[in-house]
Amino acid sequence: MNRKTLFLFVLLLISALSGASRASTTQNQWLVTVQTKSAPSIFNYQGATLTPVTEAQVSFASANSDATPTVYENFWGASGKPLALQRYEPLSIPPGDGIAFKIVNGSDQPFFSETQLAVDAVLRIMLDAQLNANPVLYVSVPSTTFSDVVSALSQQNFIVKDTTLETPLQSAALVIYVVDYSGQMKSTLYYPQ
Amino acid sequence: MVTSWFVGIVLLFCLTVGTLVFVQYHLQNTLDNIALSGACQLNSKGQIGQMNNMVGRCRQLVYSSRQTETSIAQQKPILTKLASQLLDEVRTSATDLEKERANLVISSSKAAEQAINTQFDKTCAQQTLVLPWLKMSKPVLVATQFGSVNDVDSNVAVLDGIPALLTNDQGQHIIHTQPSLYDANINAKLPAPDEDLSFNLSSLPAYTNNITPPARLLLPAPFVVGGQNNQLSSAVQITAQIKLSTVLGPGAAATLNLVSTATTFGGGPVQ
Repeated sequence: MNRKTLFLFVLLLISALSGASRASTTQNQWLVTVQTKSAPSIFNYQGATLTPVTEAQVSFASANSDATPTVYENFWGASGKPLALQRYEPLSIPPGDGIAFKIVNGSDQPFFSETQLAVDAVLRIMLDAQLNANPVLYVSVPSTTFSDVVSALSQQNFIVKDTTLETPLQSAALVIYVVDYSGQMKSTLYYPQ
Repeated sequence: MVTSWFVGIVLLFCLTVGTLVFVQYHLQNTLDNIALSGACQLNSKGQIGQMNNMVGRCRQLVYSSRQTETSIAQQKPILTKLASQLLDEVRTSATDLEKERANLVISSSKAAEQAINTQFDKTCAQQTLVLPWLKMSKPVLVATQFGSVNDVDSNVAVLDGIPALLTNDQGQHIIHTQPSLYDANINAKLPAPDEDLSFNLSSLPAYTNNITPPARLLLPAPFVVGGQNNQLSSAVQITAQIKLSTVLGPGAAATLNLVSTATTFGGGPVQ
């Protein structure tokens, strides 16, 4: 009896360990960081209309190592719209690996246009991720800009999933799970088909 | 007696020529300073370089968005609406940027012309010379032309992050390899269906080896008058005129033209 219990326990342990191992190879393997900052020296001539200019640098790194992040691309935007892009490297994330996004702001109280640009960058990379069969796990954002991120996604026609109702997501083309750094504020948004 | 008269005439002639050479040198120097300050005004906040860099990168954004939209339509049609939305967004941005650039073409030339006129009135316009036998009129600014310097590329370093776009640009012969820069005074159109958008790149000395090329004076020959393709100007040429006439003896008159050409300082680093 004791041997049977022990055998069962060992089996369960192996099963749990292999499950955890599978989870660690398919979830949160890559962290894509979108770092925003304002760029006040660009287009600061008299009469300029495309101001203030903001910048978002996108880098990626394996979440399972201490590797130095690779700078993928830079976005510039004005009035919340993307204006320009400079790509440096291909997004060399193997197909099937999971991606988590992290938005980092250059200041504690960033302009809303900075958040809009960051969200725009995230959406563009999400499409690249979809083409490369990379599941997107979540988008981690600062607590201070959590509501701004949700607003910016809403402006891009994403719909906040009602938590009080069992809203079916089968009709969604894309689902984004937004969570703040502390994990206390969460929201699920979806892009309708 | 004849010898004395002859010596006197020679001395008078030498004095006249010497005075004229001095006046011309002084006026040319003043005019050079005016041209240089006008050229600096064209790019007073580094806006030409910034605009070129943004245009080059906006082009890359549109190309990248089009690539994504095409691939999504083929491989993930459920996301086509979102991909099209993001593409439309950047196409609108490209149009807005071109409008901003067109406004800058007008406003930067206007500001430079104003600076030139103001400085000319302050420093040149009051200068005159009257000798008992010769009269020089006040200098008049007869022409202010904006343009660029021949054979100077744009300041936009070739963007090689999207290999397909690089291949396209090499095929269109719009990039130079030594140094690796986009051509100047071109509308670097994208392939269809985005060929309706304009991506104008203007001439400006490039930022190289962490150095922004300084503003400088030029000989008139390499100056190319602008106005073609509605490009941003990076050089200015001003022409002033002085009328000379004799006061004594037989009446004679001549016009002296002074030309000064200057180019603005080059592009700065991409921020």
